[in-house]
Amino acid sequence: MIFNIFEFIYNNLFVVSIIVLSILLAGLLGRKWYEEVKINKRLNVKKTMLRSLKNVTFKLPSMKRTLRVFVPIVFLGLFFLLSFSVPKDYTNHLKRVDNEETFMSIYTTFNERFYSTPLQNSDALSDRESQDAEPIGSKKVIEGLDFVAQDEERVYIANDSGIKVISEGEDTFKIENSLPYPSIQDTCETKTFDIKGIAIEGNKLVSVSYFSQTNCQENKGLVFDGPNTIIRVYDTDKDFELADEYIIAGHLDQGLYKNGNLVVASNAYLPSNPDKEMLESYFPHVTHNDEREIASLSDLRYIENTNPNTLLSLSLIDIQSGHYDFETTLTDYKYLLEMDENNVYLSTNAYQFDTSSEVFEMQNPIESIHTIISKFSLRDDEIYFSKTRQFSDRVTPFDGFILKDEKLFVLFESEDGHRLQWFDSQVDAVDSILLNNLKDYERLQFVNGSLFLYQGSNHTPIEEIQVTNNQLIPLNTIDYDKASTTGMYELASTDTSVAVSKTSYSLSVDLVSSSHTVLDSYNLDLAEYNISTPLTIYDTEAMNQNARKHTFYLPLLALEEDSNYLYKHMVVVLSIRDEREFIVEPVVELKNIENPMSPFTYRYLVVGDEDYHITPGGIFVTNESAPGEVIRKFSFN
Amino acid sequence: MFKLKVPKHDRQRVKDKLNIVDSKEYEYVVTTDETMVEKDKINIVFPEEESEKVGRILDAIVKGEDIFITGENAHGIKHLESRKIHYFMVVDDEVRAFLSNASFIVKYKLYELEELLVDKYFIRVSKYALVNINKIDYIKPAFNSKLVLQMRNHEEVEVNRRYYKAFKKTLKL
Repeated sequence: MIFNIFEFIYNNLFVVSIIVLSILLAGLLGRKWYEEVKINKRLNVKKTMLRSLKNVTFKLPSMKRTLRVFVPIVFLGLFFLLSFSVPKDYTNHLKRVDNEETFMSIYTTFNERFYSTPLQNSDALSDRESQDAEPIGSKKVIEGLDFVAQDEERVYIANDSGIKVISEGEDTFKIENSLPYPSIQDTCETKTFDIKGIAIEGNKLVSVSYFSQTNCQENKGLVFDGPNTIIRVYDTDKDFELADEYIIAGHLDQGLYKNGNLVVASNAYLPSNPDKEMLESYFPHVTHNDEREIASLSDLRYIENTNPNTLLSLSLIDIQSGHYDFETTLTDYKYLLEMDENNVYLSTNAYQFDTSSEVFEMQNPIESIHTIISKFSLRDDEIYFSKTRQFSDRVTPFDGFILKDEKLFVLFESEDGHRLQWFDSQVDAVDSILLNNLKDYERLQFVNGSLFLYQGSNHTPIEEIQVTNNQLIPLNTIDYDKASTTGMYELASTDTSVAVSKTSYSLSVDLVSSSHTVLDSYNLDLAEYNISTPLTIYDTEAMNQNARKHTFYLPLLALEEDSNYLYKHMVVVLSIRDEREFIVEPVVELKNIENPMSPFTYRYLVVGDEDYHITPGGIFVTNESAPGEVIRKFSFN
Repeated sequence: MFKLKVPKHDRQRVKDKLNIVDSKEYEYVVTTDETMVEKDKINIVFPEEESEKVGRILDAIVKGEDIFITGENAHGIKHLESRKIHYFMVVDDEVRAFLSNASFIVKYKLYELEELLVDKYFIRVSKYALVNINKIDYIKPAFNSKLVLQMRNHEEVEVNRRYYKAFKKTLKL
């Protein structure tokens, strides 16, 4: 006990000195104050005895002299207040890399111990060597972008061949401009290209595309001649002049576009035996209008005890101003990442080695595996590293890390079973529950106030946990309809929303009030369709965008009855009356336009009293008064 | 100096009327009850209705006859009532008496004044100053074992470290 006290004092000499000095000073001033009161009281007694005064009332020390006693106390209070009010610094699990020696030391120290373990030969590690491994949570999408955008004059459609800039003529449309996708000159032939989406921000058109690279033998080892995320910003007022171009090197993990800010997470794997002399060549970089910024070794941070095999980069771009920020972290490629417009959360495994492993070669030197959750803040166009927190359990290797409405839900694997933990935006625990007998867990999803846990390849819901203001409450019965909801679409200017849920056999569309009451339902029995006609529901990701307040669109795709390869597109239009019920309008059939389905299948726009049904091949127009009848169509070819 | 001896229930009232403060060491017993007299002390026995008169007698006992000191300044010579003098101080090898708004040079040495006024509520506070206790408005302890006396004329006189204990003893602290 006494030893602990001495140890504490030794380790916190500065703090202890401040506390002791403050207390001593307060004691001294307090004593002086008391002496002053006593002496003046005695003076007045004396004066009364000398019959100079009529009573013994005496002057108290002035307010200034009294307050002086409390100065050290106030100082001490301020010291503690400042100590605790300063943004908490959870950098315990971080290490600055600074130079090549530290980098190599981190790498070799970890690997010398880690690669002597049974884990060394596991699939999880060997697949990294192929350079194709992706982090498990890698979404490869940029949320907030779509393939169709619209401003007051034009419609922008990103299909496989480029971005079509469409303006409306008298009776038809015209392609005003066609913006080709970037091409990258590279010796590696096998590259795949994806357009990730476009958006309009004032007079700027933003496009994000991604070049991935597979089996590129020539460049193996030099990771960054490989995949790139390319962001192009065009000025719509200046004949689509290229205003800015950013090329972010590395595997695209995911991104988010909101309010004119684009944040992109990408990663680059280090080669198996990094060469100290070539370290910079492994480092991620951003090229902004031909100016390349390579991640600086001195700015690099390492999340301690994680496998140092990946350089994870976050890039934040302000589309209007052209300002960007770029941060890189050395960590394990098996990370999980979630982001919203203000924060990015990163979960990584941290390995605690047996101390004996520093001296002896052990069969399994790993004592335990922890989880480190790191938080990055996105503020004022800058990326700030905010904090790290370590947890004794490890996050389930499947998708057990989700962020929804600033609530971070993490599914940990503990010795007692699975533990679902809810964190607030400061990574402080709000609530947690223990889930026993959770087998074959596959996915965690937040739907309409509940968390659902799914198992198996069919994603069968096995648990429903209600999320209240500050509690997680496991429910005895599972709402299967809610669990199979593929999307919730809030209808503009109303309190109602449309929930679409799909199983193998049916499709259900519910009109839901703000109190989660189902007001009306539309069910489509997929069995009604000819068995030889596989029916697919288009992705409905962007369906709520630009929603006309009284209409909801349900696009379907089915094989033509007499064909094995020709698809027919149709759109079920549901009008919503009085925000209470669906009216099923005639089905719109989108025929006679070559309808490729990449990179999207169907979108719609509302333009005046007309509906534009957009496929990558062309536009079909229907009128609000006759929803089933295509009155115009326009092919891009 | 005084010990008030009256029945308990009358004590506070009589005490207020006489403006008397009891002290442990006393020469006078002041009482309304002749059975309470102490033979080895001077006893003042009085009926309560004569409290006002007795108060004046007590004043006279304490204050006695005032001592006059002769002082001079640029305006002339003046007899100074010692009770009106705030303090004496040696300034430029001259002893000066400081009153509310004026100061006078007196022809005494400071130690002579101390001897003269020792029973008249004056107290030596430093090698250079003699202070009238009744004219001290407030005492401020300083950190260096000194006291700063704020006089009623808003001037300050310091109690020297050497006289600190004696000063406190006088105040019976």
